[in-house]
Amino acid sequence: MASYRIYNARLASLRSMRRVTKTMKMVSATKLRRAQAAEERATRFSGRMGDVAGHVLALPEARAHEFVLPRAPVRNGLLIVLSADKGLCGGFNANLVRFAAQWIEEQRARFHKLRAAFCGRRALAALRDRVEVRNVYDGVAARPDFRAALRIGRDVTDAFAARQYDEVHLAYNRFHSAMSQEPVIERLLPVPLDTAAAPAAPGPRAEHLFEPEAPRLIELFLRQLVCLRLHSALLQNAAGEHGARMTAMDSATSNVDNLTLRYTKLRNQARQSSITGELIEIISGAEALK
Amino acid sequence: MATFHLTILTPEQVVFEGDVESLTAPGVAGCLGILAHHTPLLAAVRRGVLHVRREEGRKYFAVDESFLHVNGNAAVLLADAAVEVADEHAARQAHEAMVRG
Repeated sequence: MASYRIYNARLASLRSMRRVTKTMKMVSATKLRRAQAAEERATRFSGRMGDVAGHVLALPEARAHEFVLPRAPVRNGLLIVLSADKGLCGGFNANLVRFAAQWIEEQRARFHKLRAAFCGRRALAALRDRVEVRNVYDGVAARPDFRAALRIGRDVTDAFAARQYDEVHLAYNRFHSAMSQEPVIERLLPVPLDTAAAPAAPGPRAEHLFEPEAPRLIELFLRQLVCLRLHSALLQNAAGEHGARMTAMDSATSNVDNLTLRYTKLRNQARQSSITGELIEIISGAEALK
Repeated sequence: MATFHLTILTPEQVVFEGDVESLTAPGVAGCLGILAHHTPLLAAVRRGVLHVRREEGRKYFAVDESFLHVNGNAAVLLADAAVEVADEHAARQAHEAMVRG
Protein backbone atom coordinates (compact mmCIF):
# COMPACT_ATOMS: atom_id res chain seq x y z
CA MET A 1 0.00 0.00 0.00
CA ALA A 2 1.27 3.43 -0.95
CA SER A 3 2.47 5.63 1.83
CA TYR A 4 -0.12 8.07 3.10
CA ARG A 5 2.26 10.91 2.21
CA ILE A 6 1.62 10.19 -1.47
CA TYR A 7 -2.10 10.59 -0.84
CA ASN A 8 -1.42 13.86 0.95
CA ALA A 9 0.42 15.20 -2.08
CA ARG A 10 -2.45 14.07 -4.32
CA LEU A 11 -5.02 15.72 -2.06
CA ALA A 12 -3.04 18.98 -2.13
CA SER A 13 -3.08 18.96 -5.93
CA LEU A 14 -6.82 18.22 -5.91
CA ARG A 15 -7.36 21.22 -3.63
CA SER A 16 -5.55 23.56 -6.00
CA MET A 17 -7.38 22.06 -8.98
CA ARG A 18 -10.67 22.72 -7.24
CA ARG A 19 -9.68 26.33 -6.69
CA VAL A 20 -9.08 26.68 -10.43
CA THR A 21 -12.31 25.02 -11.59
CA LYS A 22 -14.39 26.82 -8.98
CA THR A 23 -12.94 30.19 -9.98
CA MET A 24 -13.43 29.49 -13.68
CA LYS A 25 -17.04 28.59 -12.96
CA MET A 26 -17.64 31.85 -11.13
CA VAL A 27 -15.92 33.92 -13.80
CA SER A 28 -18.00 32.21 -16.49
CA ALA A 29 -21.18 32.85 -14.50
CA THR A 30 -20.40 36.57 -14.43
CA LYS A 31 -19.57 36.64 -18.13
CA LEU A 32 -22.73 34.69 -18.89
CA ARG A 33 -24.84 37.24 -17.02
CA ARG A 34 -23.15 40.05 -18.93
CA ALA A 35 -23.68 38.30 -22.26
CA GLN A 36 -27.33 37.61 -21.47
CA ALA A 37 -27.93 41.23 -20.49
CA ALA A 38 -26.37 42.33 -23.79
CA GLU A 39 -28.61 39.87 -25.60
CA GLU A 40 -31.71 41.25 -23.91
CA ARG A 41 -30.83 44.80 -24.95
CA ALA A 42 -30.16 43.60 -28.49
CA THR A 43 -33.50 41.78 -28.53
CA ARG A 44 -35.30 44.98 -27.56
CA PHE A 45 -33.59 46.76 -30.43
CA SER A 46 -34.37 43.98 -32.91
CA GLY A 47 -37.99 43.97 -31.76
CA ARG A 48 -38.32 47.65 -32.65
CA MET A 49 -36.47 47.02 -35.88
CA GLY A 50 -38.90 44.20 -36.63
CA ASP A 51 -41.87 46.57 -36.26
CA VAL A 52 -40.27 48.89 -38.77
CA ALA A 53 -39.23 46.02 -41.03
CA GLY A 54 -42.88 45.05 -41.37
CA HIS A 55 -43.53 48.34 -43.17
CA VAL A 56 -40.50 48.25 -45.45
CA LEU A 57 -40.28 44.59 -46.37
CA ALA A 58 -43.96 44.37 -47.23
CA LEU A 59 -43.27 46.62 -50.21
CA PRO A 60 -43.29 44.76 -53.52
CA GLU A 61 -39.82 46.14 -54.30
CA ALA A 62 -38.45 44.33 -51.25
CA ARG A 63 -39.50 40.92 -52.56
CA ALA A 64 -37.62 41.56 -55.79
CA HIS A 65 -34.48 42.99 -54.23
CA GLU A 66 -31.19 41.30 -55.12
CA PHE A 67 -30.51 40.67 -51.42
CA VAL A 68 -33.75 38.68 -51.20
CA LEU A 69 -34.14 36.86 -54.52
CA PRO A 70 -32.49 33.42 -54.57
CA ARG A 71 -29.84 33.26 -57.26
CA ALA A 72 -29.78 30.57 -59.87
CA PRO A 73 -27.51 28.90 -60.59
CA VAL A 74 -25.73 29.02 -57.25
CA ARG A 75 -21.99 28.97 -57.87
CA ASN A 76 -20.07 30.09 -54.81
CA GLY A 77 -21.07 29.69 -51.20
CA LEU A 78 -19.74 31.12 -47.98
CA LEU A 79 -20.19 29.59 -44.55
CA ILE A 80 -19.48 31.77 -41.51
CA VAL A 81 -18.66 29.63 -38.50
CA LEU A 82 -18.90 31.13 -35.02
CA SER A 83 -17.21 29.29 -32.18
CA ALA A 84 -15.23 30.02 -29.03
CA ASP A 85 -11.59 31.05 -28.94
CA LYS A 86 -10.90 28.81 -25.97
CA GLY A 87 -11.74 25.30 -24.91
CA LEU A 88 -12.69 23.92 -21.49
CA CYS A 89 -16.35 24.37 -22.26
CA GLY A 90 -17.59 20.82 -22.67
CA GLY A 91 -18.92 19.85 -26.08
CA PHE A 92 -19.69 23.45 -27.08
CA ASN A 93 -17.12 23.68 -29.87
CA ALA A 94 -17.01 19.99 -30.76
CA ASN A 95 -20.77 19.79 -31.38
CA LEU A 96 -20.71 22.79 -33.66
CA VAL A 97 -17.67 21.55 -35.55
CA ARG A 98 -19.29 18.15 -36.10
CA PHE A 99 -22.52 19.77 -37.27
CA ALA A 100 -20.71 22.18 -39.61
CA ALA A 101 -18.46 19.44 -41.02
CA GLN A 102 -21.51 17.33 -41.82
CA TRP A 103 -23.22 20.29 -43.47
CA ILE A 104 -20.11 20.98 -45.53
CA GLU A 105 -20.01 17.37 -46.76
CA GLU A 106 -23.70 17.38 -47.63
CA GLN A 107 -23.82 20.76 -49.31
CA ARG A 108 -20.47 20.84 -51.06
CA ALA A 109 -21.94 19.36 -54.23
CA ARG A 110 -24.39 22.26 -54.57
CA PHE A 111 -21.59 24.78 -54.91
CA HIS A 112 -18.92 25.30 -57.49
CA LYS A 113 -16.76 26.55 -54.66
CA LEU A 114 -17.52 26.61 -50.95
CA ARG A 115 -15.44 28.76 -48.64
CA ALA A 116 -15.65 29.44 -44.93
CA ALA A 117 -15.02 32.44 -42.71
CA PHE A 118 -14.27 31.92 -39.05
CA CYS A 119 -14.93 33.83 -35.91
CA GLY A 120 -13.42 31.93 -33.01
CA ARG A 121 -10.23 29.89 -33.22
CA ARG A 122 -11.61 26.53 -32.15
CA ALA A 123 -13.68 25.87 -35.23
CA LEU A 124 -10.93 27.28 -37.43
CA ALA A 125 -8.41 24.81 -36.02
CA ALA A 126 -10.83 21.91 -36.49
CA LEU A 127 -12.16 22.75 -39.96
CA ARG A 128 -9.30 24.43 -41.80
CA ASP A 129 -8.36 21.14 -43.48
CA ARG A 130 -11.88 20.40 -44.68
CA VAL A 131 -12.82 23.66 -46.33
CA GLU A 132 -11.07 26.58 -47.99
CA VAL A 133 -10.66 29.41 -45.47
CA ARG A 134 -11.73 32.82 -46.76
CA ASN A 135 -10.75 34.84 -43.72
CA VAL A 136 -10.73 34.94 -39.94
CA TYR A 137 -12.39 37.61 -37.83
CA ASP A 138 -10.17 37.61 -34.81
CA GLY A 139 -10.80 38.80 -31.29
CA VAL A 140 -14.61 39.10 -31.35
CA ALA A 141 -15.83 35.73 -30.11
CA ALA A 142 -15.57 36.13 -26.35
CA ARG A 143 -17.01 39.64 -26.02
CA PRO A 144 -18.73 40.74 -29.18
CA ASP A 145 -19.97 44.30 -29.67
CA PHE A 146 -22.19 45.67 -32.38
CA ARG A 147 -19.24 47.25 -34.12
CA ALA A 148 -17.79 43.80 -34.72
CA ALA A 149 -21.13 42.62 -36.12
CA LEU A 150 -21.18 45.65 -38.44
CA ARG A 151 -17.66 44.92 -39.64
CA ILE A 152 -18.45 41.29 -40.47
CA GLY A 153 -21.93 42.12 -41.83
CA ARG A 154 -20.69 44.84 -44.18
CA ASP A 155 -17.85 42.65 -45.34
CA VAL A 156 -20.03 39.71 -46.33
CA THR A 157 -22.86 41.85 -47.72
CA ASP A 158 -20.39 43.69 -49.96
CA ALA A 159 -18.94 40.37 -51.11
CA PHE A 160 -22.47 39.12 -51.82
CA ALA A 161 -23.42 42.29 -53.68
CA ALA A 162 -20.22 41.99 -55.76
CA ARG A 163 -21.36 38.46 -56.66
CA GLN A 164 -18.32 36.82 -55.12
CA TYR A 165 -20.82 34.62 -53.31
CA ASP A 166 -24.34 33.58 -54.21
CA GLU A 167 -25.28 32.27 -50.78
CA VAL A 168 -24.01 33.08 -47.31
CA HIS A 169 -24.78 30.74 -44.42
CA LEU A 170 -24.12 31.17 -40.74
CA ALA A 171 -23.26 28.35 -38.32
CA TYR A 172 -23.49 29.03 -34.60
CA ASN A 173 -24.71 27.60 -31.32
CA ARG A 174 -28.22 28.78 -30.53
CA PHE A 175 -28.47 29.60 -26.84
CA HIS A 176 -31.29 27.93 -24.91
CA SER A 177 -29.83 27.94 -21.41
CA ALA A 178 -26.52 27.55 -19.63
CA MET A 179 -27.05 23.78 -19.91
CA SER A 180 -28.17 23.56 -23.49
CA GLN A 181 -26.94 25.03 -26.76
CA GLU A 182 -27.99 23.78 -30.13
CA PRO A 183 -25.81 24.03 -33.25
CA VAL A 184 -27.73 25.53 -36.17
CA ILE A 185 -26.96 26.69 -39.70
CA GLU A 186 -29.09 29.51 -41.12
CA ARG A 187 -29.08 31.26 -44.44
CA LEU A 188 -27.95 34.84 -44.01
CA LEU A 189 -28.04 35.92 -47.65
CA PRO A 190 -30.22 36.02 -49.68
CA VAL A 191 -32.28 37.24 -46.72
CA PRO A 192 -35.10 34.79 -45.95
CA LEU A 193 -37.96 37.28 -45.65
CA ASP A 194 -40.30 35.12 -43.57
CA THR A 195 -37.83 35.15 -40.67
CA ALA A 196 -36.92 38.81 -41.08
CA ALA A 197 -40.31 40.31 -40.36
CA ALA A 198 -43.98 39.65 -40.08
CA PRO A 199 -45.71 41.29 -43.02
CA ALA A 200 -47.44 44.52 -42.10
CA ALA A 201 -50.98 45.49 -42.98
CA PRO A 202 -51.49 45.96 -46.73
CA GLY A 203 -50.94 49.31 -48.36
CA PRO A 204 -48.24 50.64 -46.06
CA ARG A 205 -46.99 53.05 -48.69
CA ALA A 206 -50.15 55.07 -48.34
CA GLU A 207 -49.53 55.54 -44.64
CA HIS A 208 -45.80 56.03 -44.50
CA LEU A 209 -43.44 58.52 -46.02
CA PHE A 210 -40.17 56.91 -47.02
CA GLU A 211 -36.95 58.80 -47.18
CA PRO A 212 -34.94 58.10 -49.27
CA GLU A 213 -37.23 56.46 -51.85
CA ALA A 214 -38.15 52.82 -51.29
CA PRO A 215 -35.49 50.93 -53.33
CA ARG A 216 -32.56 52.67 -51.63
CA LEU A 217 -34.19 52.45 -48.21
CA ILE A 218 -34.86 48.73 -48.68
CA GLU A 219 -31.22 48.09 -49.47
CA LEU A 220 -30.02 50.00 -46.39
CA PHE A 221 -32.56 48.11 -44.36
CA LEU A 222 -31.63 44.66 -45.56
CA ARG A 223 -27.96 45.41 -44.90
CA GLN A 224 -28.88 46.42 -41.38
CA LEU A 225 -30.90 43.23 -40.88
CA VAL A 226 -27.90 41.09 -41.84
CA CYS A 227 -25.76 42.91 -39.28
CA LEU A 228 -28.44 42.51 -36.60
CA ARG A 229 -28.76 38.78 -37.21
CA LEU A 230 -24.99 38.44 -37.00
CA HIS A 231 -24.96 40.45 -33.79
CA SER A 232 -27.62 38.23 -32.27
CA ALA A 233 -25.72 35.09 -33.33
CA LEU A 234 -22.46 36.46 -31.93
CA LEU A 235 -24.14 37.23 -28.62
CA GLN A 236 -25.72 33.78 -28.44
CA ASN A 237 -22.37 32.24 -29.29
CA ALA A 238 -20.70 34.18 -26.46
CA ALA A 239 -23.49 33.42 -23.98
CA GLY A 240 -23.39 29.75 -24.99
CA GLU A 241 -19.63 29.58 -24.57
CA HIS A 242 -19.76 31.02 -21.07
CA GLY A 243 -22.79 28.92 -20.14
CA ALA A 244 -21.14 25.74 -21.42
CA ARG A 245 -17.93 26.56 -19.58
CA MET A 246 -19.87 27.27 -16.41
CA THR A 247 -21.61 23.90 -16.64
CA ALA A 248 -18.37 22.09 -17.50
CA MET A 249 -16.51 23.68 -14.63
CA ASP A 250 -19.37 22.95 -12.26
CA SER A 251 -19.21 19.25 -13.04
CA ALA A 252 -15.39 19.38 -12.92
CA THR A 253 -15.64 20.86 -9.42
CA SER A 254 -17.99 18.13 -8.26
CA ASN A 255 -15.71 15.50 -9.80
CA VAL A 256 -12.82 16.95 -7.82
CA ASP A 257 -14.99 16.78 -4.70
CA ASN A 258 -15.71 13.10 -5.30
CA LEU A 259 -12.02 12.37 -5.83
CA THR A 260 -11.13 14.28 -2.69
CA LEU A 261 -13.54 12.14 -0.69
CA ARG A 262 -12.12 8.96 -2.15
CA TYR A 263 -8.50 9.94 -1.62
CA THR A 264 -9.17 11.16 1.92
CA LYS A 265 -10.60 7.75 2.72
CA LEU A 266 -7.63 5.98 1.09
CA ARG A 267 -5.19 8.24 2.90
CA ASN A 268 -6.80 7.53 6.27
CA GLN A 269 -6.72 3.81 5.57
CA ALA A 270 -3.04 4.01 4.60
CA ARG A 271 -2.21 6.02 7.69
CA GLN A 272 -4.10 3.62 9.89
CA SER A 273 -2.42 0.56 8.39
CA SER A 274 1.02 2.13 8.81
CA ILE A 275 0.21 2.88 12.46
CA THR A 276 -1.03 -0.67 12.91
CA GLY A 277 2.13 -2.00 11.28
CA GLU A 278 4.33 0.05 13.60
CA LEU A 279 2.38 -1.09 16.64
CA ILE A 280 2.74 -4.73 15.66
CA GLU A 281 6.48 -4.24 15.26
CA ILE A 282 6.78 -2.57 18.69
CA ILE A 283 4.64 -5.18 20.45
CA SER A 284 6.35 -8.12 18.80
CA GLY A 285 9.71 -6.52 19.63
CA ALA A 286 8.64 -6.21 23.28
CA GLU A 287 7.36 -9.80 23.31
CA ALA A 288 10.73 -11.01 21.98
CA LEU A 289 12.56 -9.26 24.83
CA LYS A 290 10.53 -11.08 27.53
CA MET B 1 -45.41 73.64 -27.00
CA ALA B 2 -46.72 70.22 -28.02
CA THR B 3 -44.34 67.37 -27.35
CA PHE B 4 -43.82 63.85 -28.65
CA HIS B 5 -42.07 60.80 -27.27
CA LEU B 6 -38.54 60.13 -28.50
CA THR B 7 -36.52 56.97 -27.96
CA ILE B 8 -32.93 56.62 -29.09
CA LEU B 9 -31.82 52.99 -29.11
CA THR B 10 -28.67 51.19 -30.10
CA PRO B 11 -28.32 47.39 -30.03
CA GLU B 12 -26.25 47.88 -26.89
CA GLN B 13 -28.20 50.43 -24.85
CA VAL B 14 -31.06 52.88 -24.48
CA VAL B 15 -29.40 56.23 -25.08
CA PHE B 16 -32.37 58.51 -24.52
CA GLU B 17 -36.02 58.21 -23.72
CA GLY B 18 -38.33 61.14 -23.03
CA ASP B 19 -40.72 63.79 -24.31
CA VAL B 20 -39.28 66.37 -26.66
CA GLU B 21 -40.58 69.39 -28.57
CA SER B 22 -38.57 68.98 -31.73
CA LEU B 23 -35.95 66.83 -33.34
CA THR B 24 -33.56 67.64 -36.18
CA ALA B 25 -31.75 64.72 -37.79
CA PRO B 26 -29.30 64.45 -40.72
CA GLY B 27 -31.34 62.34 -43.14
CA VAL B 28 -29.67 60.51 -46.02
CA ALA B 29 -31.76 62.58 -48.45
CA GLY B 30 -31.49 65.85 -46.50
CA CYS B 31 -32.08 67.34 -43.10
CA LEU B 32 -35.21 66.16 -41.29
CA GLY B 33 -37.16 68.28 -38.82
CA ILE B 34 -39.76 66.49 -36.70
CA LEU B 35 -42.39 68.19 -34.57
CA ALA B 36 -45.26 66.68 -32.61
CA HIS B 37 -47.95 64.88 -34.66
CA HIS B 38 -45.68 64.38 -37.64
CA THR B 39 -47.06 62.18 -40.40
CA PRO B 40 -45.80 58.56 -40.25
CA LEU B 41 -42.29 58.47 -41.63
CA LEU B 42 -39.49 56.02 -42.09
CA ALA B 43 -36.14 57.56 -42.90
CA ALA B 44 -32.53 56.53 -43.13
CA VAL B 45 -30.24 58.83 -41.16
CA ARG B 46 -26.56 59.26 -41.88
CA ARG B 47 -23.74 59.83 -39.44
CA GLY B 48 -24.14 63.27 -37.91
CA VAL B 49 -25.51 65.35 -35.09
CA LEU B 50 -29.03 65.07 -33.74
CA HIS B 51 -30.53 68.21 -32.19
CA VAL B 52 -33.23 67.67 -29.65
CA ARG B 53 -35.21 70.56 -28.15
CA ARG B 54 -36.97 69.99 -24.86
CA GLU B 55 -38.64 72.27 -22.36
CA GLU B 56 -35.55 72.00 -20.17
CA GLY B 57 -33.20 72.98 -22.96
CA ARG B 58 -31.32 71.53 -25.91
CA LYS B 59 -29.56 68.20 -26.18
CA TYR B 60 -27.10 66.98 -28.78
CA PHE B 61 -26.37 63.43 -29.82
CA ALA B 62 -23.64 62.18 -32.10
CA VAL B 63 -25.22 59.33 -34.06
CA ASP B 64 -23.89 56.76 -36.48
CA GLU B 65 -26.00 55.50 -39.39
CA SER B 66 -29.53 54.86 -38.21
CA PHE B 67 -33.20 54.56 -39.06
CA LEU B 68 -35.81 57.00 -37.81
CA HIS B 69 -39.36 55.75 -37.46
CA VAL B 70 -42.12 58.22 -36.66
CA ASN B 71 -45.57 56.85 -35.99
CA GLY B 72 -48.46 58.04 -33.84
CA ASN B 73 -46.71 60.92 -32.05
CA ALA B 74 -43.73 58.78 -31.13
CA ALA B 75 -40.33 58.66 -32.76
CA VAL B 76 -37.77 55.89 -32.47
CA LEU B 77 -34.22 56.30 -33.66
CA LEU B 78 -32.56 52.92 -34.21
CA ALA B 79 -28.87 53.76 -34.38
CA ASP B 80 -25.72 51.72 -34.92
CA ALA B 81 -24.15 53.88 -32.24
CA ALA B 82 -25.16 57.06 -30.41
CA VAL B 83 -23.69 59.17 -27.63
CA GLU B 84 -24.92 62.31 -25.94
CA VAL B 85 -22.50 65.21 -26.39
CA ALA B 86 -22.27 68.66 -24.84
CA ASP B 87 -22.16 70.70 -28.06
CA GLU B 88 -21.44 70.52 -31.78
CA HIS B 89 -17.69 70.62 -31.29
CA ALA B 90 -17.82 67.57 -29.02
CA ALA B 91 -20.04 65.89 -31.61
CA ARG B 92 -17.38 66.33 -34.26
CA GLN B 93 -14.88 64.64 -32.00
CA ALA B 94 -17.29 61.81 -31.29
CA HIS B 95 -17.68 61.33 -35.04
CA GLU B 96 -14.00 61.09 -35.62
CA ALA B 97 -13.94 58.36 -32.99
CA MET B 98 -16.76 56.54 -34.84
CA VAL B 99 -14.97 56.84 -38.18
CA ARG B 100 -11.78 55.48 -36.67
CA GLY B 101 -14.01 52.65 -35.50
